[in-house]
Amino acid sequence: MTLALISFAIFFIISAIILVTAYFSPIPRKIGFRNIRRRFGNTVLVVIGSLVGAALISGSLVLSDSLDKTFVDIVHRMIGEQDAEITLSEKAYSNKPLPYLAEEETEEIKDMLDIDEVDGVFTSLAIRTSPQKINDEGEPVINTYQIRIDGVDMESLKKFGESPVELVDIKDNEVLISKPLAKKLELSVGDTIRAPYGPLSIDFKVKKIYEENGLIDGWRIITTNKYLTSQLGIPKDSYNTIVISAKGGIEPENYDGPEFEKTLEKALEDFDSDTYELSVMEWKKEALEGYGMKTFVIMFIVLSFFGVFSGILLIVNLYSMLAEERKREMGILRAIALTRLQLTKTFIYEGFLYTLISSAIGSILGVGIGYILVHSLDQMFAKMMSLTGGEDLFKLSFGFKWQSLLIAFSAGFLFTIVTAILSSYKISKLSIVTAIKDIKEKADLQIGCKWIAKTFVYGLGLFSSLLFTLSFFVIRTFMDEGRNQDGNPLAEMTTSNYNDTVDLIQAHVLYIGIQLTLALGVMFINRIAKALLKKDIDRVTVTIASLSNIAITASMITLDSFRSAFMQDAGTALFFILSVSLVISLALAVTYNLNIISTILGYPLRRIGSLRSVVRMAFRYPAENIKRTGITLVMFALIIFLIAYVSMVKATVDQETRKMLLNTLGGYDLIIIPGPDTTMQQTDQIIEDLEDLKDVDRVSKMGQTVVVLPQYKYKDLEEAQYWGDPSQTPSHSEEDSFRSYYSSLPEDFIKKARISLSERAKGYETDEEVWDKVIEDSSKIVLGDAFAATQGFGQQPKISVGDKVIVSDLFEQKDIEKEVIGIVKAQEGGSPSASFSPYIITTNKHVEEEFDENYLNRYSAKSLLAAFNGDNTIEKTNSIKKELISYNISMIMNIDDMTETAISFINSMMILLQGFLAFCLIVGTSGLAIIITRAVHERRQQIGMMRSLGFQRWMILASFFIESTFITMLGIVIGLSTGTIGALISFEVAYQDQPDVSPVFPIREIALICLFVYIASMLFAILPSIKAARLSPVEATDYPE
Amino acid sequence: MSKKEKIVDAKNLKKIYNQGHPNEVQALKGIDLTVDKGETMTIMGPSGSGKTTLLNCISGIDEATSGEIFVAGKDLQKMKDGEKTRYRAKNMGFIFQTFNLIPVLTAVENVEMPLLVTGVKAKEARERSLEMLKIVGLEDRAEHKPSELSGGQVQRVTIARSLVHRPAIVWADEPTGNLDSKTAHSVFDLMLELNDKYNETFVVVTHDEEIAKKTQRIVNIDSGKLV
Ligand SMILES: Nc1ncnc2c1ncn2[C@@H]1O[C@H](COP(=O)(O)OP(=O)(O)OP(=O)(O)O)[C@@H](O)[C@H]1O
Ligand SMILES: [Mg+2]
Repeated sequence: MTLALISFAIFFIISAIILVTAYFSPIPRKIGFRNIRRRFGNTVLVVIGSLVGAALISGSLVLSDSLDKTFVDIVHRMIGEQDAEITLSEKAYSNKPLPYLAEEETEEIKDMLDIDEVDGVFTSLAIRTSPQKINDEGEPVINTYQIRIDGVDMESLKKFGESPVELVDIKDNEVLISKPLAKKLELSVGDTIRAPYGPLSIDFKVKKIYEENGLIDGWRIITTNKYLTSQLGIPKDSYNTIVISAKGGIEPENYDGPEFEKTLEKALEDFDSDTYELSVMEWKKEALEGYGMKTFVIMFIVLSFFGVFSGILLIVNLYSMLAEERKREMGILRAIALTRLQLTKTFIYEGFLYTLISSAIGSILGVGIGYILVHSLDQMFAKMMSLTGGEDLFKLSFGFKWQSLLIAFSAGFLFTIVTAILSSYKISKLSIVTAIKDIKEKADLQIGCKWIAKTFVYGLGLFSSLLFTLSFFVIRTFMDEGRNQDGNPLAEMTTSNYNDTVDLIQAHVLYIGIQLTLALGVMFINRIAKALLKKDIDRVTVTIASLSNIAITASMITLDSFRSAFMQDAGTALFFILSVSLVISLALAVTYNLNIISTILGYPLRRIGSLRSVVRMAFRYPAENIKRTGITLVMFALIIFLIAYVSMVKATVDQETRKMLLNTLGGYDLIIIPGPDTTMQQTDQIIEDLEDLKDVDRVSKMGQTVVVLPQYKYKDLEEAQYWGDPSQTPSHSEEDSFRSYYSSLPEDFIKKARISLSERAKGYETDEEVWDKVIEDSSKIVLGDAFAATQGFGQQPKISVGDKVIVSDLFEQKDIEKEVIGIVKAQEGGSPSASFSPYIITTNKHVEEEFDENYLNRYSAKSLLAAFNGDNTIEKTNSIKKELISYNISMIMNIDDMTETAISFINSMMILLQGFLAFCLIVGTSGLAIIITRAVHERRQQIGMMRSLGFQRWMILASFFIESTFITMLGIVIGLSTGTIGALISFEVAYQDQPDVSPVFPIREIALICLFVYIASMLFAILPSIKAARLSPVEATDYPE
Repeated sequence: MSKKEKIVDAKNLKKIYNQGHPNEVQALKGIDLTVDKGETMTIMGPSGSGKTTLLNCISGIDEATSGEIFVAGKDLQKMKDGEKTRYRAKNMGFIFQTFNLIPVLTAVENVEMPLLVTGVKAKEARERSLEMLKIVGLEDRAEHKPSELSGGQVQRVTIARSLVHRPAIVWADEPTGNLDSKTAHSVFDLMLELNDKYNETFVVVTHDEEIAKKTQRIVNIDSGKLV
C-alpha cells in the first residue's frame, strides 16, 4: 500500500514539476509537442512499446494478486472461520470404539477458550467414514472415501466466528452437504447417504446442498449431535472435537495470536487421562504454510518481478532508441542556440505526453489481459479436473488491487521519464559536433586532475564494495554480540530464527558484494587501461568478469549460509537477484563478443555468395549497438530463463514423485486401506473377494504389528516427539520399554520396491543383498528411516547397523534377537500413504511364523496391495471400487492416481506459472517486434542506400530475418543456459538430502516452446521487415527527417 | 564514328510530387533526354530546379509520374523491381547529394558493398576496394567509420564505392561539392580517366562550371524543364 502511495506521489510531483516548467518554457514545449505531431507514426510506435511495457508490469502484478486472491478464496471455501481444532483421540489399544469427552471436560475446555482472541467455538462429534449413495432398493450405488461426519451442536455453530455461516435447521437424520460431495456421490436433496462405521451403518437424508462455504466442504457432512450420538449408542452431547475461531475473520493474516497459541498449549497440558489424549490441529496455519501456498505465492511474486523487469527494460530500450534517433537533431538545435536544459526539456515534454498515455492505457490493458488469462486458465483447470475426475480444489480467482494498478502506472511512468531525462541529458552534454555527426563518445583519455579525481572515486567505490563483501566474515560475530545484549531484537529470536536471519544477511552481503566488486572492478581496470595502456580492453575484462560471475554464482551453492538463505521464504528475493545476475552476465559476455559469435555463426551463410553482403548487414547492426542489443537480449532472455526454469522444475518434480511412488508400491497397481475398525477377519474376506476378480493378479498385505524393544526405555530418549497418527502412538510411561512396529511386507514387494538404504551392515555390498537376506532369514531386519531421524516425525531410539535388537511380543513377552543389517534412506516428502512408513521391516511370512496362528489378532494396521492382470487402467480400478463398495474402506488408490494427486498441486501451480509465462512471452515478443519496427524506421535511409547499391527486396527481408533470428536465438540460448543453471541451483538446495535426484531437462517440451517463441517473434518481426523490403531506393536521397 | 549507342533515352518525362495534395510540386515538366554510352554529361541548374529528381527518375531508383525511359534499350517502367535491382547492382554506381555511406560499416566495407552484392569473393572484393581507396587517397582511412571521416573524405569514399565494380553508368549528384577545388579536380579527373579506360558513362550534377567544362556535354535545367 505504502509503495503504491509513494510511487503515485512521486508521479504526481514529477508531473506537476513538468507541467509548471512547461508552462514557463514556451520554446522547448513547442518543439517537444510539435515532434509528436510531426512524426505521428513514430509517436504511435513509442507509445505502443511503452504501453506494452506498462502492460507487462501491471499484468505481472495483477496475476500475482490473483494468485493471492485464489488462496484467500480457497481459505474462504475450505476453512473459513475455523482456525484451530482440538481433537480427542484414544491412546492405542483401549477397546473403546470411539473416544469422546465427558460433558464437564468439554465445558472445561470451552471455558479455557473464553479469551479475547477467540470469537467462536463449536463442538462436534466427528467420525470418518466412506459414505455411499443408497438407491431406492436400499443398495449402495456409489461411494467415496475419507469423509468426515460432524455431529455438531447447532447452537454453538450458529454463533461461530465473526460472520457465521447461515445454516438451515436440521433434525433427525437430516444432513447438510456441499456441492462437490453431491457431485461426487450424485446426490440431490432428499437422497439417502449411508455411512458404514465399524459394525454399524448409519443412514442420512440430504436436507440441503451448499456451495462450499468454509464450513461445509467436499470432505465434510454436517448432522446434529443428537442424531449421531443416538446412532452410535453413546450419550447425547458427547463430543470429540472442538473447533475454534480466532478473532479477525477469515483473512489469513489474522489466524492467531500469542495468547491463542498459549491457551491451546495449556488446554493440552491440563488434560489428564490414561486412555485419551488431546491434539491440536491449526488448520489455517497448516493450510497456508504446510501446503506450501505461502511459499508459492512468494515465489510467484518473485517470478512476476521478472515480468516487471522485462517491461522496464522494454521501456528503457525504446526511449534510448528515441533519444539516439534525435541525437543529430538535438545537436542542430543546440547549434541554433538552445541551452542544454531547454534541450533536455523538449525531450522530456515529448516523453511526458507519451508516457502519460502509454502508462495509463498499458496498466489498464495489463489488468484486462490478466483477467482473460486467469479466466481461461481457470476453465482449463476445470476441464482438466473433470477429465481426470479429480477434486476441484483449485479454482482460480481473479483478483486485483488498486495498489497494483497504481504501482504499474507509476512505475511505467517513472521509468519512462527517468530514461527520457537520463538519455536526453547525456545527449545534451555531448559536444554539438559529436551529436550531429553521431560519433561514438570516447572516455577522457587525458591523464589530468579530472581523470585522477574520477579514477579515485571509482577506486573508492571498488574498495568499499570489496570491504562490504569481506564483511561477510564478521557479520556473525557482530550479530552474536548484539544477541548477547538485553533488549536487542536479536536477543528475542529463537535460535533457529536467529540462525536463519544471520544466514540470510550473510548470503545477501556476500552475493551483492561480489556483484558490486566485479562491476566496479571492471570499470576501474578499463579506465586505467584506457589511460595508461591506451588500449580498449573492455571486451576482455567484461568477458572475464561475466564468466567468472556465472561460475561464482553456481558455486555459491556450496556455502552453507547460502543454502540456508535459499530455503527461507525471505530468500526468494535472493533467487531473483541471482537469476537476473546470471542472465545479465551471460548477456554481457555475449554482447561483448558479438563479433566473434557472428563470425562463427555467419560462416556457413557467408559461403553462399549472394548472402555475403546480407549477412554482413544483419550481424553488423546488433554488434554496432551493443547497449541496445544487450538490453534487448536481457529482456528476452529473462522470459526464456523463466520458461526453462519452470519446465525443468516441473519435469524434475514429476519424475522424482513418480520414482518415489513406483518404489512405494513395488510393482503393485493399487493400494487398498481398509477402514480403521476393520478386523483381520474382514481383511481376509476382502482379500478373498479381490482374488476372485479376473482383473486381479495377486493381492498382498502390508502389516503393522506392535512390538516392544525391552532394551530401550522411554526415559532414555531425549526430547522424543511422537507424531504421526496419534491412534498408533502407544500409551506409555517413562519407565516403559519403547514400543515400535513390525512393518511386515510381502516378499515380492520387497524384491521389487528396492527401497534404497542409507546404511548397510558389514559384508553386504549392495542393497539387494540386504533385502535378499531379510527375505531369507527371519533374524535379520532393516530399520525404517524413522530410526535415522534425529528429530521430528516419529523419532525412534538410536540404533545402528550391526546392532542386535531384542524384539518382544506385546502380549506374550517372547523375546527374540534380531540383527539390524540396513537402514532405509529418508525420502523427502515422506511416503504418500500414512500406512507405509516402515519401522522394523521384515516379511509377512516371518511375522506369521513368529506369532503362529495368532498373528491375525496382532495386526494393528494393515493395507492391501493388489496387482492387475495386464495394464493398469482406470476401468479396472473402478470395478474394484464397485466390488468393495459394501466394505468400510478408507481408501483405494491407484498408483497412477496417487502420482497425479501427489503432483496435481504442483502441476496446477506450474500451469499457472506457464500461463503467466505465455503472457510474458506474448508481450516480450511484441516488444521485440516494436524494437524491430523502430529499427526499420531508423534505418530507412540506409535501406534505401542498400537498395540503390543493388540489394534486392528479398535481401533486405533476409537481412532483417537473419538479424532477428540472431537476436532471438541468442536470447533463447542465454535464457536456456542460465535458466538451467538456476534450476540446478534450486534442485541442489531443495533436494540436498537426496543425492540421487537426477534433474530432468525436458528437451522436447523446451524445444517446442523455443520453436514457438521463435516462430512468434518471427511472425512479429515479419511485418516490419516486409515494410523495410518495400522501401524504395529513393529513400536514400531523402534528406534525413 | 558510327551512330552512338544510347544508354539512356527518356521521353516527355514528368514528375509530380504529392499529386493532388495542396503542396503539389511539378518537379519535372516533360523532359526529353538521351545519354550515349561512354558519354560524360553534366546537368546544371539552380537549386530546386529538379536535377536530383531527374537523376532519380532516369536512373530508375524513383518512378516518374509519366513519360518513357529506356535504359540500355529496356523500358525501365516495365522492368520488375528485381530485374531493375539486378541491373543496378551490375551496371550502375551512385553518388547521392546528402547521405551516402552506411554508418555501421567502415570505409572499406562500404566500398566493397557493390562487389559483395554481385557475388564477388570476399578476398577479391577487399583487394579491389583497398585498391580503389588508394586511388582516391584514403588507404589509411580504410578502417574508419563514416562518422570519423571528414565531409570530403566521405565523398571520396563514396566515389570509390560508385566506381569499384566498374559500372557502365555512374550517377553522381554533386560528387565534389565538399571538396576543395584541387582535390575536386583530381577526383574528377580520375573519374574521367576511368570513363576513358572502361568506356563508362557519367551523368553528373554539379554547380562547378570548371568541372562541368571537362565533360563532353552540359545540359541545363530550370523549373523542371531543359533549357
Ligand atoms: N520528396 C519530395 N516531395 C515533395 N517535393 C519534393 C520532393 N523532393 C523534391 N521536391 C521538390 O521538387 C523540386 C526539385 O527538387 P530537386 O531535389 O530535384 O532539386 P535540385 O535541382 O536537386 O536542387 P539542389 O541543387 O538544391 O539539390 C524542388 O522544388 C523540391 O522542393
Ligand atoms: Mg539536388
